[in-house]
Amino acid sequence: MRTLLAFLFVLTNTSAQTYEDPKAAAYYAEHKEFFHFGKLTDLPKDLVWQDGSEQKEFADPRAVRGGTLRQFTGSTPPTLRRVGPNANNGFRGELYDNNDFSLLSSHPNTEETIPALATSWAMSADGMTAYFRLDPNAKFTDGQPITADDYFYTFYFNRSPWAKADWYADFYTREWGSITKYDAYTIAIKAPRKRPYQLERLGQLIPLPRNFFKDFGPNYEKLYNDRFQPTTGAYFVGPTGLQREKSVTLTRVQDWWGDHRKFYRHRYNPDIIEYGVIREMDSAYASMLAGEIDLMPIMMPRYWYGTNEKKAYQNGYLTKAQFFNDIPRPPYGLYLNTQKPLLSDLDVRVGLQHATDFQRVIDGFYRGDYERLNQFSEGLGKFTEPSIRPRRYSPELARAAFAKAGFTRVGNDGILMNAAGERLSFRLTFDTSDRRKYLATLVESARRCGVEYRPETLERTTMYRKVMEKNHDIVFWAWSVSSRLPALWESHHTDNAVEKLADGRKVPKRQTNNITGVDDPELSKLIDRFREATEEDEMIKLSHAMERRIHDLADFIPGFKVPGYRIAHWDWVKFPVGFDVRAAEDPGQYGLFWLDPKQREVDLKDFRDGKVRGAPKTVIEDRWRTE
Amino acid sequence: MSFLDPITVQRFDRFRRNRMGWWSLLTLLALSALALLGPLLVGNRPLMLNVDGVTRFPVFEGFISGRDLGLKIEGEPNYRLLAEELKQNGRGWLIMPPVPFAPGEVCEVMPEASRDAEGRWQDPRGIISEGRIFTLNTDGTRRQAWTIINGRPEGDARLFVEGVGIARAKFANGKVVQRVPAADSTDWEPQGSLRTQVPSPCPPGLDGHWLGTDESGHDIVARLFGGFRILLLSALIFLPCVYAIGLLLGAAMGYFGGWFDMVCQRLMEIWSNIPFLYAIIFLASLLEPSLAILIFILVAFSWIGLAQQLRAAAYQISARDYVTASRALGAGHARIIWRHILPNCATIILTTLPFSLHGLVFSLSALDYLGFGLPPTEPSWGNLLQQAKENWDAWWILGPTLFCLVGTMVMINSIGEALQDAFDLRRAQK
Repeated sequence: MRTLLAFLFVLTNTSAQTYEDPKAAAYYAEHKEFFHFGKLTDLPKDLVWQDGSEQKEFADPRAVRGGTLRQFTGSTPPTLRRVGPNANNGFRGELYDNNDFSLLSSHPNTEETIPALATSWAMSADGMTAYFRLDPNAKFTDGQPITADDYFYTFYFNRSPWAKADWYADFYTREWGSITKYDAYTIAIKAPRKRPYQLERLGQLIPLPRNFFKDFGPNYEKLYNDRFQPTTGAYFVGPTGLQREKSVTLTRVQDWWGDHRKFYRHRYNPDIIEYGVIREMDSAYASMLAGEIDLMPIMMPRYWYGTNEKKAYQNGYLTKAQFFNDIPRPPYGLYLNTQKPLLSDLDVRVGLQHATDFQRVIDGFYRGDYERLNQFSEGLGKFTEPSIRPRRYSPELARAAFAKAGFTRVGNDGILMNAAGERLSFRLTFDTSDRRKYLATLVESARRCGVEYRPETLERTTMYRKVMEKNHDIVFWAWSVSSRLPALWESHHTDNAVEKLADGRKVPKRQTNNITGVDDPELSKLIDRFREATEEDEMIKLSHAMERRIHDLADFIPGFKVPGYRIAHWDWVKFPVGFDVRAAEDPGQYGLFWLDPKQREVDLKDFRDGKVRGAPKTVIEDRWRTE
Repeated sequence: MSFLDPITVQRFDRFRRNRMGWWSLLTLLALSALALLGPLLVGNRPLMLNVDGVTRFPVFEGFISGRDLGLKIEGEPNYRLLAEELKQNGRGWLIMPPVPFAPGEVCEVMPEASRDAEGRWQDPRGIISEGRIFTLNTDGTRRQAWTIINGRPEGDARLFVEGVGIARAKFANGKVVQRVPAADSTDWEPQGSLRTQVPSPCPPGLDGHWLGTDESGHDIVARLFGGFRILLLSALIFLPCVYAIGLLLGAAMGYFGGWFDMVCQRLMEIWSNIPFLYAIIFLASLLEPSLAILIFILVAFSWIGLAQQLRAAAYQISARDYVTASRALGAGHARIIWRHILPNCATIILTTLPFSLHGLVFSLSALDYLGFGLPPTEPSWGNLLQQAKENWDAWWILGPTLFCLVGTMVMINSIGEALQDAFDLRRAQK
């Protein structure tokens, strides 16, 4: 702790001066069309400033700061860099994505805009430029104040070839029009083109700590490999925070800027979050049951139901909690490669929809806890067409559809064939996770409909490579969805389906997210129109039309949706009234819980002595349940 | 025994005198014979079936459409359900194999749920602590389902039409406290023929699963049997391949010697330094795992030891007078290797055979255990062991699998030792 305090002390001292990067300055001068410098007097006079103060706070004022939260991780991150090679690892969420703020944020319950690093904002009359007043008290985790220059630096850094981050370079070039600094705490950002939800998009900009990047140069990848990039969040990784293959420790910033701000106080309460390396999920579960881990997701049925028989639960120390959230649902299901023979036939695809029994998987493997996914774009609020339902499992309907496609003969093995002798047989690719255990159910159910699924389980990266090369027939997959706006260009547009070679031949386009290879002019037209639409009514109408079209094309067999999260936690972890917020994917995301370290000592002692604390506790919070 | 030469007879006698080895051999042969019976013993197609006076043999015929049997479905009927149906309507009868489950078949164990004296819901295993009870439609899908906690409805109850949930209710303290949609007027009192589903792995004794089911709902007996068949099949491909390569290359190296021997030796040294497991993991990430590929990889890494032994033996033999003599008589290399070298290596071939088999069983099971083996739909002992590791409470997975694996290994090893004893020259002279 002493070293930590000394470290913080040094940081506070150095924060007096901020750093000017001559290379960055030269870059701004070179790109005058993008980087503007103005004076406060240049600000338009007719701006209507907003500050989101009408929104309600969602954190619990009873929350107490302090304590160490014990968590686990499968392995330590290969690098602490935020971008560049290997940066997109499994630990990035804990380090950066959950731990950083942009100009604006969205209220997790109402989805209305609330202030973050900007305390107030205004839109220009033409809806193209957003103006932001920054919080002068906001600081990076290394104590440096966050100023307009740090937002400029974001563009310089991400566009630089030294960062080796192609996706970001593209994003920070194409998705932004220009940025203007009026003074250290007032900026304006212009959009590149007319598009919906302009304010929310422009408000996504995050500042980068230019002071930390003093040594940014061609050797960024190596030089910054093990250095934690200061964020605007409440936690940082100290110099000894990363112990390779042992642990990662996040430390709370003392006197964080958010502690004095509405929407941010009473959050991120533990002083330290410790992630010990435990490779196996089963071992982690055992550690949790022994009280060495404070809380843990127990989505898998064998953990959720298995906990019932465990001492910690039976004696009333450990609580099982199920929280229903309301977020865009990742489209878990089977993706049919429509550019493969047989699968290019719509009737075959419709038949497969009826031949794939996900309901049996939900009832059996998931014990009825999950729900059938209705369609590709689910949980998008008003953008989801509510009447679309998945085609139900039915050998009769499946066989009728296959018959329409010409598959009427039955082979000796019960698999359907067409006149040319082609069998209805497809390679079904799964990853090696627990999901492989219900492959057998899908295979067997399909067989009853006269379809052969030839199962294959591939290690995750191999599967990813195969799918990106578009070599799969049918794959179990899901995309992560972060916004309620349907983003169908990536997954369903012709642009991403086929590629024209120099000799005029059309081939499947590799390395795109259109993994069903759908190449439908009508759908592409709808997607194009949606991308240019700005009126909400029109957008809703178009998105319903797109979803209907995707349903008709039958390229995606909807699997299941997970209606929330389930965790087990010891009683020294305290949760707010209502447990969590509507948009929460896991308890750590909004950081509303807090710890009682004293209770931990007492509880653990009593538990180990075999004392009974009370009846088993299960909490089910369904306030935000959607269906 | 007169057609065998006396030395062989002697060896055979010595082998028989090792009781452990002899009985192991007999047991393994018997088991292999049983495995050859396949679906006659373990399978979900009846041995014989009589509907409306027509007799058929589905186990030999393969797929029979339900329509051909006068049923309303196109696909293959579930014969176990059909048996009950036939018993009720008296249209015929059928005879199922002793274990009426196929190794690849997924079984859902759905016993009837009933109420005890206090009105708590229970299944054959006792009061339902946390689970669901439900009514079924005629097509086997769920119609209405209730969540049961400590024997009473608590939390969710749902109503489905064509697989889509159209209404739900929330129970608290046994009463409906919330309905969605609010206008819903479903009767939420559990009634009718109610069932519950025993989650897989299901303990032994329910629904005719002698040893229960595994995580995916496969019958354990059928799985063990299927796994044994796959091991036998692999052995039938693996052993000839390994021995063909190992023998020929080993004999050639020992016989020719010189630069050929030199080059081959160095190549083998390099090859044998590749860590087997890493190579497998690497290849598994490039290729689609299937039995053929796994055996190919195993063969590629297994012939070296045998070739080395053969080389040493051939080297020794090729210096013998009778080899020189037949060379002087003008015999070619192929003839000398075939007639003189290889027959004299018979001891090595026979005595190493069981240990190669042992290695194969071990490697295949280990790969499946680690998840780099066959697809999980294929029956395999290694996969069962892996499941046992994830389900410590499911002793019915671990126990029988361990018994089969250890039993097989011990038997193979005993045979190997008995063979070594039988062929041991020093013992022979005693």
